[in-house]
Amino acid sequence: MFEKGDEEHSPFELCIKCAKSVIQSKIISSNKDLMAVIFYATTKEKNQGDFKNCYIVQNLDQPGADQVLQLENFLTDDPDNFAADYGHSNTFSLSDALWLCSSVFSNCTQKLGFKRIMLFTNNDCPHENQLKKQTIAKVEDLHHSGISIELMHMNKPGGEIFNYDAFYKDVLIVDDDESVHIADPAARFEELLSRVRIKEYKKRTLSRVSFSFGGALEMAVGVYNLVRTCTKPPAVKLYKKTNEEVKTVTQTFLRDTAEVLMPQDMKKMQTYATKQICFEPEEITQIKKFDDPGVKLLGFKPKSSLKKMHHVRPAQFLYPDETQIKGSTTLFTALLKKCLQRDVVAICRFTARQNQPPRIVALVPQEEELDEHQVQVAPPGFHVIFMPYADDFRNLKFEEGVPRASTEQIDKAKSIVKKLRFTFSPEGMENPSLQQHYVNVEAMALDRDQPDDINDSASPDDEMIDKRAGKMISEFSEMVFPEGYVPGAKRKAPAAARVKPDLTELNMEEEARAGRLMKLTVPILKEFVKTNRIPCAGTKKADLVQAVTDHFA
Amino acid sequence: MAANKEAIAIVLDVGPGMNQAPPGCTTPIEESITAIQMILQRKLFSESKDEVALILLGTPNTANELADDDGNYANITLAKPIGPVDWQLLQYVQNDIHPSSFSADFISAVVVAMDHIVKGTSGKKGFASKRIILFSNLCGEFGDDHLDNIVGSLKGQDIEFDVIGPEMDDDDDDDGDNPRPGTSGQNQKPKSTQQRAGEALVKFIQETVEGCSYSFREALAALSNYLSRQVRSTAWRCNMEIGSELKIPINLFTRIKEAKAKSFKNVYARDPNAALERNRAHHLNDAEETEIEREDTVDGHRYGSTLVPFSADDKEAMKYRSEKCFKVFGFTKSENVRTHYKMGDATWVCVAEKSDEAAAVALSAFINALYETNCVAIVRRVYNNNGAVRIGALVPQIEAENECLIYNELPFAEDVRNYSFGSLPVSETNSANQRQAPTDDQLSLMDELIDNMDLSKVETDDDCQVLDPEVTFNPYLQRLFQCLQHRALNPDDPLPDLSEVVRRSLEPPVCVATQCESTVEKMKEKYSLQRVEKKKKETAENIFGKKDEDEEPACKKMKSEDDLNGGLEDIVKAKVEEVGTVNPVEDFKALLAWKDKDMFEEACAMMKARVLQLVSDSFGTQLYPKAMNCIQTFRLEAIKAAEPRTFNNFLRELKDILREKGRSDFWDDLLKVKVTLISKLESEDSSVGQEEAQRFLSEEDEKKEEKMEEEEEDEEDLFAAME
Repeated sequence: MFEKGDEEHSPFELCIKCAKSVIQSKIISSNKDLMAVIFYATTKEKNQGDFKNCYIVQNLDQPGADQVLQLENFLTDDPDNFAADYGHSNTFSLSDALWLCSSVFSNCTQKLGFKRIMLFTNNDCPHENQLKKQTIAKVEDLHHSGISIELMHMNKPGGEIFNYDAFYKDVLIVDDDESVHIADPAARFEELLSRVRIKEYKKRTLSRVSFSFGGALEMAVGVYNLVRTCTKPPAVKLYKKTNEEVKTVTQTFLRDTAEVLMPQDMKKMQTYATKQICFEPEEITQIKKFDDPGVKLLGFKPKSSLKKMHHVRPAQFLYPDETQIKGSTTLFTALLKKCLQRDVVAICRFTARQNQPPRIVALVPQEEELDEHQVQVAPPGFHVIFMPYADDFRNLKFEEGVPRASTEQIDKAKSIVKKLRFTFSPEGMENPSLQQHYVNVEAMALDRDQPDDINDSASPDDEMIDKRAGKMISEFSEMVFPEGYVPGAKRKAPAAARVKPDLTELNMEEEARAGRLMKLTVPILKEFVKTNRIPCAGTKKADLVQAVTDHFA
Repeated sequence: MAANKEAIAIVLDVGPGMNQAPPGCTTPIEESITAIQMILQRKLFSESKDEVALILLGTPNTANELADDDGNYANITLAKPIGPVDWQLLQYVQNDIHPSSFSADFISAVVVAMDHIVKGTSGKKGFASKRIILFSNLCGEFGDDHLDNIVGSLKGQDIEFDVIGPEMDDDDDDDGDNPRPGTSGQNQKPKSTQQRAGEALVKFIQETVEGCSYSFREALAALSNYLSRQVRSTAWRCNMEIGSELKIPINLFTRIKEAKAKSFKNVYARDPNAALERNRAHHLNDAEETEIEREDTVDGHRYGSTLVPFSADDKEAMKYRSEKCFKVFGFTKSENVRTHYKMGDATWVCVAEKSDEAAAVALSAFINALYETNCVAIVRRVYNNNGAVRIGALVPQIEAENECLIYNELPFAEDVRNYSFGSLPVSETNSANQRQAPTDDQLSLMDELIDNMDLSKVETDDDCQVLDPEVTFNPYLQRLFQCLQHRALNPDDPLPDLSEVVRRSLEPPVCVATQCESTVEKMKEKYSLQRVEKKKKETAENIFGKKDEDEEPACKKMKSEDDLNGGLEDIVKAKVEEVGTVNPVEDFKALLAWKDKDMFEEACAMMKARVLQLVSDSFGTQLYPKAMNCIQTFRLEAIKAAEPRTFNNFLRELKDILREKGRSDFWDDLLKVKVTLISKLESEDSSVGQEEAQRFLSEEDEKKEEKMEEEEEDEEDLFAAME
């Protein structure tokens, strides 16, 4: 494992890199996942049991910067140190190592959903006879307790191919539908080494509600979010001196008596036309409540009645829920099938949660779509499109008499559109602010000089556009823009014309003494404050006047 | 100051003509008062800056600036001078307007109103328009001298003149402003000559002066909803860039965005005017909860289990830099942007920069090009320098009056959650879940339901569709305003009931609801739907709560063994009548402790059955410890009760049964803990000697291997049977 051979890295280094990369990815994608790093075939030992030749380098825990840095250390550290700290041994038992792994899992106090051992080795035949038998038995044990083993095998230094059949073929339990032939692990290594910084979400229903057809006909559906803005994780407050987390307590108190108020001491108030109108908090809840949570069918409309601009919040998704009402799948499927067939949407009243006012929604049917590998790309079910209410429309007056393009100009634009066509998919674009945040936190945590570069996939490629359609674009420009046209110049012109306020003809002191400052314009006051470096509390006129007055006082 | 205020003079006729109605009908004055209240409510809750004056005509008294001793402008009262709408005005309209028996000249009242508005607004800034709304059924007499002068002044002052009164015979002068054009006439009594003359006069005025006429009914329908605050969209200016060369100046306006209620403020319940302060204190997580200053804190972010401090400087220095932009990536087929991809909370429209004709032509070319090729543009938008980056789609929309692009935000890779769901048996070719596929019967019922609930076919009395978003008001805001108004005017009342208008806006139209009734009934028969009884969630509370129920008596029973006091313990004990699965040992003991009846035989029989059940129900070795515990208790109690035979018989029986059932592993456990027959040494009544007891164990050891073989055969047979 430690011989370099012709490769740049020894197999051991490659493993450590992989482990490090997995930890770094997990920290962003699923930070609740727990990881452990265990060496086997060491001379030293460190573990809870009496397992020989096994060394728990990192116990099963939520990984953080320390774990990453420790692994990094292995890559730069002197190999002699490794020999001293851990040592190399040939008298190990793989069965013990696996046993240790399973005891690490069972000692964990948290509930584990999925347990996996990634076994990195380039030793294709560690054991024979008795020890092999033991290993087989142990692997079976693990299999029964739901621990899967993924073999991450590497070729030996010098390029000798890892012989899967020599040992692991008999040992590992391969699911029936998986190919017995183990492919070259290079691809898997590459996958592990590549870093994708995307938070993974566990599939979870937002709520399970009933879907009423009127009368007493009801089915149950689960509500899901399939798209939702992924935001930067919120910051926590730390104490500067120790970097420990601090608790923040917010209290409301009366200004006069400093009496601290509890929620029950308070009412909710809104002011209209200077009148304060108060409600008890429970009354607010009562005002908001119309229905119990659920979907209520109001009718059907042709899909074409759905307007493109009707959007006020991201859609949700409905899928039948047999755990609440048996038979929901059948009714749901019938509804889905018929809505698809007749190209209609179901108009419903939707109350998502307790004490939430209802929204009118359109349920848009979606048929299941699979890709060529039979992998689902679009699940079957209904998208919940939230309709705006009349209150949500803003009055816009369009400018009248706006000139329109000629057929010729339109055709030129069409040719540009055709040249610059691509297949849009949201998967193709990452949020650069979010990515930058991830690499920043990582760089700070790992004490790097520079954060990793991010791949700004959400930046249009001007070069490519110019190369492909540059000629047409300039022809188009010639057709639509008059000569010497500067885009947006019109609004820039006044900005450029805005001369620096002239203070020479003004005796500010005189104005101040005469109390005429309020009559001056903000730019003049600002300029005066700036040129005389007068400290100023703000940029409001009152602040500026105060600052100037104080200056001459 | 936004120059969009309106000065409105409401002129209300309270004369005798307004107080007449067929029995059971509301009088015109009542309808007028309701409509005026609605106008005021809308102004109030939309926090409009508009100013309103109220002029009554037909009042017993005269109170206006133009009145003189000669009786000109008599019986006209300026009830409220022009000013922003307040609660007093609303309350006044609600409570203090009474019909009178005096008649006044409505034209004179209009002149008073005009005079007041002109005087009231002169020198004040920000009034964009002026309007007089006359509420009258035009029954009173009027004088039409100086009419040309009056019309001239209205025109000259640019005052709009609306009349809300009787159903007009001819609505041809209605213009687009009319929210709901009237259709059929109401049951109204024939108009008097006086009314016809009045109408003619109103028409004559409206030929010159802008304004419209509505009937009371139309006005009430149009005003029946509260209006929330109107937000003016301001333009976001930028250049739409395509490549490095093409820049088209555009404006982006918010078109649709959820209107939210004003936020509630917390106030002190006993004194809403008391000043409240909020204080955020930071505490260390130590025993003393030491308070620290805000300056001594720093923002931190989690990196896995590590907390990483980030100073404001670090944040600023490392932040993603972006420039304000509206830049095209390229174009894509419109079907690539799915309906459910839309992100954000709003829809914008994109038009060319105002009064930039070249930009308008350039944008128009692209709007049409996209429209004709069924494409949309994908753009990167940054609101301002170093702002958040968004991607969005520009969808062309071409209408008779205008062309524009509709802009909606799209998700990034991080925003998409690729959950997979089980297939649904939508098509016959889909093999998954076919068992749950709907039958043809069931499907045709669904067809029937869709036919019966087709909202696009429902006739309404206006042009709008049922549940059209543009006319359906947010029920919560309506309800909130209703409650606010009620509370403001009646501070001590409970909340009012939900208004019927709002309730109805959330239901399917009555005809649809009745049409589909029978279909839904049939569906209920044809579809089998069964609500699953909610299992108690396995929360700690439930588990422990349940345990408590079972265990508490058990605890008390134990106690009662120590000191047999009887009393309450007895009653509690009496409840245990069988050896349950939860706490068989306790139950068994409880049964034996019965005092009024010897339960030994019965308890033992139950215990035997329970042990056998536990062993055979056990998944793997899961329940073995419990069964073992039972056997040991059984044995102990048998010795105590001097009834060793019962146990010994049981143990022998158990041996045979277990062998049959292939539960030899349980036997092995028994052997390990050396549970054997009760010998004479332990209980005098036993017929089993010490040796025999020992042999019972060793016998098992000897037989073990044989037995294993037998069992293996059994298993094979079993498999053979299965095949």
